[in-house]
Amino acid sequence: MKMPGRRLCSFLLCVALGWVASLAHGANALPNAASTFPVNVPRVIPGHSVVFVSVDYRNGGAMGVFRGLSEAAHAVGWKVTALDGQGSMARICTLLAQPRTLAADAVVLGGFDPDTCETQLRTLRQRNVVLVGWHAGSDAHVPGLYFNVATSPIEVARLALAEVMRDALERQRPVGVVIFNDGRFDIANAKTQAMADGVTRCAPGLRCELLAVVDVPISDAAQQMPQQVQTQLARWGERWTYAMAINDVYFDHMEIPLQLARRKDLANVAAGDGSVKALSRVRSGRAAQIATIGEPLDLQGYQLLDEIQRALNGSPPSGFIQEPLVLNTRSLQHSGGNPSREALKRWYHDRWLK
Amino acid sequence: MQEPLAFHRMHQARALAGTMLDRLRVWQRGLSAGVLMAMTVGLLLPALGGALMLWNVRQDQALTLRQQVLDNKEEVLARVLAEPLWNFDMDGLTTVGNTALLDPEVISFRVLDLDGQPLLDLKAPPRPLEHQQTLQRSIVHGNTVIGLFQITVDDAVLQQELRRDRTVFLWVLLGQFVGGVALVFVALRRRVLTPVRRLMGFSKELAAGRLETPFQAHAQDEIGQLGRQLVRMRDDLLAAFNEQKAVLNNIRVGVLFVRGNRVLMANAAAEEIFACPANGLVDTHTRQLHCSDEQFDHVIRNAAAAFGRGSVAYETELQMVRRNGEVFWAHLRGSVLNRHQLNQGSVWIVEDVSTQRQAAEQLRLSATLFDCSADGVVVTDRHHRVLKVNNAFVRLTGYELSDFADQPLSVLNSARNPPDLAQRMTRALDNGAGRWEEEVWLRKKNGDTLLALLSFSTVHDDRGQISHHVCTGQDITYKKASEHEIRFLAYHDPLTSLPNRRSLHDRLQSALMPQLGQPPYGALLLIDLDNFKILNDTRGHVMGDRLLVAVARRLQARISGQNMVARMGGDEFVVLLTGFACPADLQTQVPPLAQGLLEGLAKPYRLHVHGMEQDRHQELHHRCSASIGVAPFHAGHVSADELIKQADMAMYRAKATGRNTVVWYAPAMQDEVVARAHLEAELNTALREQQFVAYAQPQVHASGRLQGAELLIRWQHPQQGLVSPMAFIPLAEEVGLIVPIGAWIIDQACALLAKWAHLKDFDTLTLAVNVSARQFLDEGFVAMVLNALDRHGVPPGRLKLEVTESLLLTNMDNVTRTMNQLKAHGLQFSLDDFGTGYSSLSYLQHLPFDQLKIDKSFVSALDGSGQPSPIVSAIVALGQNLNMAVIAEGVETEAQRDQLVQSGCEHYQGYLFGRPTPVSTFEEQACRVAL
Repeated sequence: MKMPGRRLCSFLLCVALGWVASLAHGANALPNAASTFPVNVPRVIPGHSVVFVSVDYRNGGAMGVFRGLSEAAHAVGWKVTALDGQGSMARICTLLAQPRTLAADAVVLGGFDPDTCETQLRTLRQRNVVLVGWHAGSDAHVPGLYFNVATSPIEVARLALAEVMRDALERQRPVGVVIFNDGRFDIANAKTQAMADGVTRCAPGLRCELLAVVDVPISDAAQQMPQQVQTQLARWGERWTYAMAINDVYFDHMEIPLQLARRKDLANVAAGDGSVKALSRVRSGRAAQIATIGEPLDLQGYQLLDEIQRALNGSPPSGFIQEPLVLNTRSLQHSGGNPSREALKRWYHDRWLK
Repeated sequence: MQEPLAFHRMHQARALAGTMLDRLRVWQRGLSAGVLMAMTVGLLLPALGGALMLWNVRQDQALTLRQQVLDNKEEVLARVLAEPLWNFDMDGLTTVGNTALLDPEVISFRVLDLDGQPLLDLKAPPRPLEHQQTLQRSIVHGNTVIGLFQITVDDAVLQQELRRDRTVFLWVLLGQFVGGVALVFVALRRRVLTPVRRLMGFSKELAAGRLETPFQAHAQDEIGQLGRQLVRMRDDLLAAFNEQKAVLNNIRVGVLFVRGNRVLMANAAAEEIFACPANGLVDTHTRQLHCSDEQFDHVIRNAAAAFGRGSVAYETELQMVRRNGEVFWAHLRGSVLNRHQLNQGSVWIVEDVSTQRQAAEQLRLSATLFDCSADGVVVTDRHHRVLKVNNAFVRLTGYELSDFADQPLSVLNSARNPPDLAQRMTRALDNGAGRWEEEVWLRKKNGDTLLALLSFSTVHDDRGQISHHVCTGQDITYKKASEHEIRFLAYHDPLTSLPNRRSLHDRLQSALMPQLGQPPYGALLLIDLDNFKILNDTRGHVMGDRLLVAVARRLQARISGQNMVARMGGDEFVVLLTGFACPADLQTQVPPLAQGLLEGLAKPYRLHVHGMEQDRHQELHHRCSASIGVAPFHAGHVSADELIKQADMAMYRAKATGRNTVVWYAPAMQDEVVARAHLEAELNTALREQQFVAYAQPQVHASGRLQGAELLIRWQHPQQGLVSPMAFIPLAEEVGLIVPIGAWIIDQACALLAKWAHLKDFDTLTLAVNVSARQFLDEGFVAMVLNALDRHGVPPGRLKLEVTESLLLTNMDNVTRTMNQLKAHGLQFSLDDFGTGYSSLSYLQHLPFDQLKIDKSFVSALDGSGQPSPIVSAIVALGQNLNMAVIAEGVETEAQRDQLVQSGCEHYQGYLFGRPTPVSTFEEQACRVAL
């Protein structure tokens, strides 16, 4: 399958992240990094209108964030309109030039970079339409946008690596890691680099070894991964104890090949994605994959509204970056609620409506 | 009561059960039952077999299909499970497992990994299970077996479905069977049973002889053809019947076919004979055709006997009865179809012989009439040869039939008849007139003649030729004489044989009609005998009649030529004198003639008087004068009635001028009559408008004491003022108005007496009232007087009725009765004008008079010498002897009073004591005198 381009692959990566967050939300996973709340949350003035332009609402992440934004807007009396780009950049540019988009107080760029549809965005800026992004770039601060709500890929890689280290410490075995990467994406490369660095640094009391970084395009995972399992097992044998990947998709095709190879001890941890399949595997506790890292999509929707109000107030962005979610067998099987996420929503409510 | 009721119910139940069983048996015998049973067997058995076969096929199909489904399910599940198991997606596996468990057949679902360890083990909720079966299949991804799954299924659902299918099959079978039976039965009923039943009904109607029953067979099937053939047969039969019926209906005698005493068929003549509508005789019991049950039984019995004897037919003539109740004579002839089996029916021929019998009767009657007729009848042939005569003819003429053997009928012709009589008769009869009637003198065999009304009629034969003449003769000799007598009596007075009033009228009409060449002047003399009534009353009507006859003879003797004497009625005669050319002739010729009549009538009459002894006659010499009124006339200028009226007026004037005289009519007489009529009308008005007033004149005693008064009537005429009673009382008496006027004055007297009864000095006074003869003799007089007294509450003795002597001459018996009736109630009577009339002492002796009133003529005749008047003294003496008071009226001077005193008269009335004054004035004067 031929990739549509770099931007599209970036989007797919975001989609993968969204899937994880969505599943985490559905599984009431406990947040592991939500100890801090945004400061100076402004009072919200009712009556504003926001247009949420998503690159593709078939993406569960985009839909999750839109639902969060709609929930918050309903609470404060804002109107949110969803415009679906259906995966087409041309369509996205058309949507951005529509009157209702031009008449909105703010436009959310869902999953596409601000350098896309530059002309239309310029027009919006000239009309003082606030432009905010959700995964519109790899960083919170993206040129041309007031703020970009996203998680940090480095933090995602770190949390994934921490799960590997935790498992290794629990099972008291050496860490021999093969990382599966799609070198076409900067974020993937960043994650891979951070994971590789972490393995190299290792954890106290453990013996760590970065066996290989295998570049397998995500779109080719189904075809290549069974073979890659045999290849890597043949190459590394018992030294290979952990497989890490920038996305859960790689592990969809590793479980049975590992069983056939009689390597039930090999554990997999994914830095991102977390499809139904991944969560199902992790929750069963019988699969090779033991964890995946997701995003708090509903809270990201709340934050989008907060950031827009700040922009309308002429204030600087909050700079608040939400923590990714660690989704392992224990958290999935034993989670009884999500008090931190509910607390953050109340936090926003109290301040928006004060 | 219970037992009979229970028994009755049981009996009813038995009867009902029996009826139902009978119907069932009938139904079982019917076509429907057989068809229904055949259909049941024929449809049910194949249906059952088919159902069992279908059921087995269905079961096999179900099991095969289930196996296919399970195989397919295995394959699908293996394919579906491959991806989640490859991804180790436990949620996916669970979802697939739960989905598999949604299948009601699946009771457990297991997924095993490559080591045979269960990855997923799901079970369906507990439920009733049937046969269980575990299926197992490898899960392959690509070409690699990556696991195993097991599902356990049971066939409870299948079995349930099969059971349901079996039930459905049964219901379908049942529905199919019932529907099939119903449809077949309906079709059978519609196409076969109903047409057959209609055919049966039709054939039953035909069998019952009702061939006119309509039937239509439209169907093209065999039954329809059968029906049409039946209709054709019926039509042929009907045509044959109609032909027979036409034959029968054109027979003039009635034909009845009878079976079991009921008429099965009757032709039109029979229906006409028995006055029945078309087909009205059918099913009629023959007993109803007979006059009585006895006659019916008699006919049946005799007919059976006749047939039993071997007779072919039984005939009789008897009276039968039509439907409208009319009885007629009938000739009845009956024959049976089978002499040995009478119940097969009989044919009766009925002929209405009433007409023949009536004709025979008529013939008999005619013969009797011919023989018994009071008129003589002769029948001749067309040549007037005598063929037959009846008894009356023989009796009238004396000629027998045999007498005409050698002489013609003309031998009867009398020489008194016109010579051309026979010729006229022959001509009239032969020229087609057919009838000739004339009064003819007949010569009897003994030579006498008689007047007969002969009536000849011709009799024609069938060809219209004269065959006979019938002559009837009626002896009208006496009838003619009677007619002459009647005609004479109609125009003549039977007593005097003079023309009567009717005849006079006719003659007068003719005389008063101007006729060319006839002298137009004439005179009508109305002659009335003077005092004829006295003769009638004193000598009786017979003598009066004889006088009238004698007068008639004398008048006839003096009147001749075209002049006429007639009797108008009573004692009035009329002489009509005509043929005067001018009035001068009248003036010169009539007076001597009238005078001659007067003198002729005035001569004494010798009237025969029948004595007590037979054949001993006496003669009465009677003198009688007459008053003659003459009314001259000019033909065309006066009517008969008017002329008679003028003569009447003249005659009355003659009477009024003293009788025995001739008075010519003058127009002034008419004026007097008119004046009298006017006065009569005014009197009526006066009565109606109460224009009469009462005046009272005192009656006093010699002592000067007022004793009473005479109440007199006056007429207060609105234009003429006070009118004397002398001016209207005579007319009132004449026209009868005196009755109500008299009643009025009596009522006034009673009212005055009632008033006086309450006045001092008046309560003893009497009131005298004059009563005329006509009033006194009125039928209601007594009741009127008593009613007035009673109404006013007056003692009758205070009222005194004054009557004149002339009253006593009118009707003595009635006067006596009336006076006695009133006297019985206490009324007083005074004889007025005493001494001027035909005073008879016997009247005074027998009538209850209380007072004699000396007429004023005697009082005025007193010479004033102071000496007693012999007449007054005689009257006073008479009154004293008869115990009657005597009062003198018209006393105007004291000398008269003194002389009356001297003569012994103590009661007076006259101007000397007071003129008649209004009652109020009288009362005032009386009060003054009393004071």
